[in-house]
Amino acid sequence: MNSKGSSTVLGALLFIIIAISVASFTFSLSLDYQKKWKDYLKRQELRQREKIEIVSVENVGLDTYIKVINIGGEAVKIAAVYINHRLIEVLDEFYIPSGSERTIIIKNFNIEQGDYIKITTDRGNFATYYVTG
Amino acid sequence: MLKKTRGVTPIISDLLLAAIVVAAFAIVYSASTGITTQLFNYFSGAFDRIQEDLIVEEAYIKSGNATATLYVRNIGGVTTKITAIYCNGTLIQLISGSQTVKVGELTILVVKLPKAPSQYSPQKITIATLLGNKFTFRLVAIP
Repeated sequence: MNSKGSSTVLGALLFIIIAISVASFTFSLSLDYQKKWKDYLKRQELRQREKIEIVSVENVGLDTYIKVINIGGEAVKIAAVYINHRLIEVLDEFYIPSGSERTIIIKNFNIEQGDYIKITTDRGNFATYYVTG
Repeated sequence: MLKKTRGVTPIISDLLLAAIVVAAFAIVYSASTGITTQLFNYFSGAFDRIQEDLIVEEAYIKSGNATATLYVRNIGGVTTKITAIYCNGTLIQLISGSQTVKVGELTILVVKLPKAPSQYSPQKITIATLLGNKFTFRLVAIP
């Protein structure tokens, strides 16, 4: 007599537990999705704000000096230097603050007229220079 | 003798019922855990796919030479595993280079093209990854 309504209560409890489980699962998934999407957009934004230019390239003794200016709104990390489509130098910690100039020194390498220089950043941007004279 | 065993059947049936309930619960629990894990992995993989991004920052493709060098950088947010490389829709052979590229890392892939390209001919290079992304780049052979 006393346990007459217990199955209804148990059923309701079970329903609530299932509903909460599904809701929390969906919520955590959507949070994760939003976070990853936000990271992606942030990366794209930073990439678009990056802008570098090669100011000058010259031989100094046995080395090559490549002067680079960062005219973008973000500090950039120069990742690699290519000359004539070949990787010449990988730079580990070469940062240029926004609005500043820095010189990359390629040791024991001299550029020649007609050489094509490309420097790339870790975010996938690049600057090029064609040696004319 | 009969009087002593009178209450045994209800106990056995109770035990049997309890065993059936426990077994049923175990089956339902393991099935739901499996489904939840698979669902989570499915969505998690889909989220990682958004984060994946590759760029061919430089390439050396010379006319008359069937070997090309691709300088590929991971500019995404997750480690990438390259599963296949295609040139103009044909699967090409990777001669050397790491197929696993960590975030920010550069990998130098030396590949064998189906045929030596003529000068200034465009080559459509497609890089396929384990997460299911395809990155396509147009590269031109230098004289």
